[in-house]
Amino acid sequence: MQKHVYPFGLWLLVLLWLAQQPALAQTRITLSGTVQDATSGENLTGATVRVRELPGVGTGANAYGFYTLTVPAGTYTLEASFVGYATQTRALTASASQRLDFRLKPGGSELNEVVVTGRSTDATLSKAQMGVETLDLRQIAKVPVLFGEKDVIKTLTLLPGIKSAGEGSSGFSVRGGAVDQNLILLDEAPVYNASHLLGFFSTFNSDAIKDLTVFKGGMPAQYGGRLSSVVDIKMKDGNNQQLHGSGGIGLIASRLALEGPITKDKGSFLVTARRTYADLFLKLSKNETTKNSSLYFYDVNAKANYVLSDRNRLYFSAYLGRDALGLANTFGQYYGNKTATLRLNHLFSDRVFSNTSLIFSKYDYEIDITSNAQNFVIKSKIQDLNLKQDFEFTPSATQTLRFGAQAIYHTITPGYVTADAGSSVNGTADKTNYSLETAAYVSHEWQAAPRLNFTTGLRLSGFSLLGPGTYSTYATDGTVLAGTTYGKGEFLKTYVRLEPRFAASFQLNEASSLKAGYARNVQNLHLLSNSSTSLPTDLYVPTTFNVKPETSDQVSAGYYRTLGQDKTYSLTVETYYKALNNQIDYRDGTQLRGNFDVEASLLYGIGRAYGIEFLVRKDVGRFTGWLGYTLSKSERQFAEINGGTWFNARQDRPNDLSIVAIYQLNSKWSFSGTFLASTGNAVTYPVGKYMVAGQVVSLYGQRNADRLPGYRRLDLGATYEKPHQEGHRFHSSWSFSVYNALGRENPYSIRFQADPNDATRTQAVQTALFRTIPSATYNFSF
Amino acid sequence: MRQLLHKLSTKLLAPAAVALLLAGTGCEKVVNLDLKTSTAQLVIEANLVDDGLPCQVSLSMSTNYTDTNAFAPVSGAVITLADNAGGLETLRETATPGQYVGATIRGVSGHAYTLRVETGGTAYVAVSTLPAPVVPFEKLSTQLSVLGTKNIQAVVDYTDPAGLGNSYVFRQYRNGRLNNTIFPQNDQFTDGNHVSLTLRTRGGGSDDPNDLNKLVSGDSLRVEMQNVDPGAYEYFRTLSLILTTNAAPSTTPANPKSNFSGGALGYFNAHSRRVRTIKVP
Repeated sequence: MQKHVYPFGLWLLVLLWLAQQPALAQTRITLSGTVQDATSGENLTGATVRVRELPGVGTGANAYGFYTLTVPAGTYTLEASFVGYATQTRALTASASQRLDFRLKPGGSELNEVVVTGRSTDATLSKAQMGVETLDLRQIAKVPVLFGEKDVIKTLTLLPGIKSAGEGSSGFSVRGGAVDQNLILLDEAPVYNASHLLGFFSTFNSDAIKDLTVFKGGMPAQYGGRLSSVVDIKMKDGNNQQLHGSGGIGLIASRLALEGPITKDKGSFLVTARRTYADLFLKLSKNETTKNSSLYFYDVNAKANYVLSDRNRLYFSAYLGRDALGLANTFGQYYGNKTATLRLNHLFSDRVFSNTSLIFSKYDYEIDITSNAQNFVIKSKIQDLNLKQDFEFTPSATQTLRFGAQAIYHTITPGYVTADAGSSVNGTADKTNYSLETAAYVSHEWQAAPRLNFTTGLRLSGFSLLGPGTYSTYATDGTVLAGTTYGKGEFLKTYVRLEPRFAASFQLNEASSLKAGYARNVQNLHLLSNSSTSLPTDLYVPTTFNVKPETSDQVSAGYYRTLGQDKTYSLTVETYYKALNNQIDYRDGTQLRGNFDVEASLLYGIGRAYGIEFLVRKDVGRFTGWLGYTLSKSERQFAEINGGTWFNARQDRPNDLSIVAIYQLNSKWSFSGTFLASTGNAVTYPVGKYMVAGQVVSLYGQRNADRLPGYRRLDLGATYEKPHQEGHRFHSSWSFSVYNALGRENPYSIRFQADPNDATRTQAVQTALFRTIPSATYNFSF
Repeated sequence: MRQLLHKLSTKLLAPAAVALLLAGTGCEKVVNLDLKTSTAQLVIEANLVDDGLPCQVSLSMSTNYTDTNAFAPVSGAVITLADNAGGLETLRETATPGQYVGATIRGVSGHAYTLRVETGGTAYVAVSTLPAPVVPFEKLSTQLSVLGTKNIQAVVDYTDPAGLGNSYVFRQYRNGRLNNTIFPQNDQFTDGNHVSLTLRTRGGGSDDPNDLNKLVSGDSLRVEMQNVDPGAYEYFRTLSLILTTNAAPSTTPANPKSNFSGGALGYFNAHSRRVRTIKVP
């Protein structure tokens, strides 16, 4: 470990030295402050602040709306802009550092009346960061969705390089990665199971969400822990000007939200809640079993923030979600996430921003079974306690240095059985395991020349398996060789990995740029799921003696340009190659459910994924939306599978097209549509059949050598906003949507069975989950 | 328990509950797929039961999926059976091609048997032990399904002996006709306990009164309880896995784990057979 630490520390010193240089060179002043929405006080993350007199000198507001710019003393015009907002300018003569806060007025609804700036396309062009996409909730609110339930995760899968794991699933694959290789953060807290109702809905109530940023590759060094992506979801801060409420009544669920100031301009709160009511219809059933069954979920988001002083601001956010599936008095399955984040923003100086976070996250499930004297309960959980410190130091207008450290204490309890006395089922041991995940990082963003930008980063990540616990070693066929029991507080095994990150951009001209990057990622928590649907019982295992840290090395390159007058269109082309190590799969015939020694069933191999992604996006004007196309490949290689040859990963879908279009007809009506077309998932079909045990059984050949038929779906939506009455605070709107408007029977699964009409034959039967589903939602706000 | 959990959570609750309760628009259709083919593979089905009869072996070949269900018998194989008491015999082919039968060796509780099949220049060998002691089949009864008042299910009772490794396979017959569902069960979670196990068949949703997955009052219900060794259990567990999960897009299917060496499909199962028959009340 020592040999890793040394260059890391040295590197940090060099960077700090570099960062200090320009500040010492001449008399410079720092302009800093926050950029917020004038009507709600929401922080405008990503808003651009530029100095008009100094071309190329500008910065973006960070996640907390804070910006800082260091420039030579002088007379300037400072300009703050953000998509959907009127640009604000401030003229000043500055001889000393000063604080300048911007309050931008939204200009979204009065189209064409004010100059509304586009997405900070200039920043996208010049910044070295690549593989990143941002979804603004206001922008995606009108995208049609299943059952009319707005869903950020479902909308996310409409971007190139991000593929839904399947119809009715909240899981997604980024650039050929597995579903568990995505780090989903809700206000910095990891969400371990992002699905409700077995994946038909995601856990995120869009009323509570401000925006979502996804890193598909080359994530900055402050992020780590997963191989494929980081989905950074930020909750709204709450309106600090006025009390507001909003809600909606939909086909599946109803929502209610309340937000308002704690102290005007200083602090605000937000509470949102949602619950489904399908179970209320069950009560109407005449069937006793149906009547006594339950099927619902609810979730609550809450957030509060308070400005303690000019230098300190405190945030608290929390999430609670729960699903219940119950069948009369015989079976009950309950699961959900709980997260809480306490954050303190502190300004050490006008150039040094600090954030300290204390984060809690827990996912657990419980299954209750009462049947034929088999009364038992199965419980499982994964829980994190996480302390994180981030610094952001902006020594000059051309450099930003981020560094910090993090420690996460994981407690993972794989499912264990508690049985009633007299039950035919015996209890099993609680095999809770403990681990400590640590990381330190430094990331340096540097505008080396007006057209040349670099982001260089290094992340040092450690993972320690802690006692107490019993761990086994296994023979190649999975039989246990030996087991060792360790005591509390022992460090059983520690893995240390270095994750270099590098990105560079070169701006070719006003309208286009080229970028390239490399990133290594390490993953130490592994989700064991041998199914494409996300089940609540899917199990996380930590890195252990046998399970090694998964790693990925990704190189990518891209071409970016703005098109059209006023740069209304942006084009992105990115290509990538990813090499994956220590990937996990299962021995044939493994059953994960009720398997309490799952390590014995694991196989380890490698993977590779490569592809090219095209995205044309339009974020301003009456007509907005995007067109994305991905051509990609994702393969795995395991000595024990398919004779050690490369085979298609389940999520390998070479062609993937998505089109999203939203048209604002007038102040009342807007229309939207999405179209998706893709190759089917890689699956395993029979290559023959034979007779055994009195029936015809399918004979299988190579794994994932076949494909489901292609997928195509058109969704349509319309939103009607009731004309706003002068003097009234009450607004209302109707959203209508049609899911799968073409009624195409998209294959969900294919099963092979005896032909019921001809005993001498077999047949393939395709199941489609949904044909056309219309829905309507009533929304209101006051 | 594993079967119970498995059935309840994937089969009943996962796609079905949500799709049916919320949408009710799911649909099925028969599709024509361009399926790959493979060379015909040998399938061995060998049983030695403690019922006083000799060993029975059936050899056949696999066929392409889209062909009719005609599985060519394999004649002329040399099959030998040995027990751990020094017995050794060669099975003879009966008048039905591909069917072979033993002579003097019988299934005895506690004995281990080695079956060797040689055909086409390749030898396939499997070992199976007839478990001892044979666990009695205590009771066969029926109950109404908890999922609806109409379905009747068979319930079997037995007492598992202390010590891990006891394995069972149950098969169900309605009016003399075998149900396709295989019920493998072991004592991983029930070691040493009295077990009352509900046999949940695969289908039962159809309106067809002759559906073997249904039971109605007045039916003759026969259930066969086999004590099998862990190797045979593993075969039937993995066989059952591909037979029951192919409706959901779940586990990647794979061929069952045969206890034969040499790459043959199928199994050799030396087992006890205890049968109970009742009239469904």
